[in-house]
Amino acid sequence: MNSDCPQASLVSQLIDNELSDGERTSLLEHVARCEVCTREMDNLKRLRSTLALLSADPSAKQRIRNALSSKKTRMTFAGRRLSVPLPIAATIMLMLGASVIGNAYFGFFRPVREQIVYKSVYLPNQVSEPAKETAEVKTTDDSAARQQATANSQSIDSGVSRKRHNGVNAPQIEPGAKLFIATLQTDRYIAEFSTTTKYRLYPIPKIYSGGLNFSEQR
Amino acid sequence: MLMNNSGFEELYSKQFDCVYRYALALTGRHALAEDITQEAFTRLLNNGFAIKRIERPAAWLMRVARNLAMESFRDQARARLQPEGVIPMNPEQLFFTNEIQQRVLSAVRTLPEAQRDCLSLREYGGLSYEEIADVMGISIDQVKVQLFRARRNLSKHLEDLT
Repeated sequence: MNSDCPQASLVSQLIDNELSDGERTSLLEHVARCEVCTREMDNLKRLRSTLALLSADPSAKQRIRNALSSKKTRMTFAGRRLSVPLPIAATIMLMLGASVIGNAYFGFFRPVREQIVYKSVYLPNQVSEPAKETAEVKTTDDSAARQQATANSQSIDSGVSRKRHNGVNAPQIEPGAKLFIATLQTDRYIAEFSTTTKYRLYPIPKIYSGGLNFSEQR
Repeated sequence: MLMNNSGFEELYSKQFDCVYRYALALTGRHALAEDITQEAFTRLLNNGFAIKRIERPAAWLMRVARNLAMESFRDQARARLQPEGVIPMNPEQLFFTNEIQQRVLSAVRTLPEAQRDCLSLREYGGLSYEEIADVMGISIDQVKVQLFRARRNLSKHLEDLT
């Protein structure tokens, strides 16, 4: 590599595409006239091709992908690591958050009556198929009040809401995914949210596929 | 960048080679490069909700890989192992690594640390000068100088191959 020409040092930046349009045009015109810079550019291009021969172990990509897939999502509490299934962990966290936000939003810090409904739903693989719901698990036996409340509810954008989880209005959730749905109901408001973990590999960001919605009780 | 399943998949597919080859150029060992690559992507996953706030995931991964490589050098120094030079490969690694690759790796490993780092971030990491400067904590002008010198030195070492 010859650097007798003062412009030769710029050729390195030229092949890296790090020059402005004006500098690039000017240097290319110079290279066309300068034997030293022409040789420099050819050398650098050949060097780049040679360096590109260094390759990764072809089996490592899949090996690492498998290793990442097997990693469990973990939560920490009081300095100790807890191994908690993600849907449950996410539901607990969202439930706590919803309780705080809901109480603050509606100005009531002491709900008179409270009920939590937890269920999971398998979304259909095709639009024509119905969603399959598992049995609901409730913390209190107050289904009549819940149905009345749901019928009279009015959706309110709380500012933290995402898309609803009914499977029709949630195109970001893949068909066949399993949804975990939790509903927190008080006599003032309903907070509902969902998470899904179709793939175990990327559990935490997947929470964003779920949603959080508030409805006011009337 | 909003990170989700497909986002991570895309990033993994796109950046795996970059991170691995950068780590390989720094360490000279396939086994170590694989460990570093896995740990870098694991840390990306463990970032959870903070992932979406990473503006330049490629540069972020390279920075993590670089730090891990530096840690491994310190560990090697403590164990009185020589980090410089190319560690001989086992038969499995030799299966996919030909002589030319060994030559390239040896040549890259002869460069001074800053030149090797700069060149590897550019050629294998695919980072811009600005990103390299950010990762290495140096100015863009210094990046230009280091890259120029690295290429000049490498051309001498690999003259018969280029």
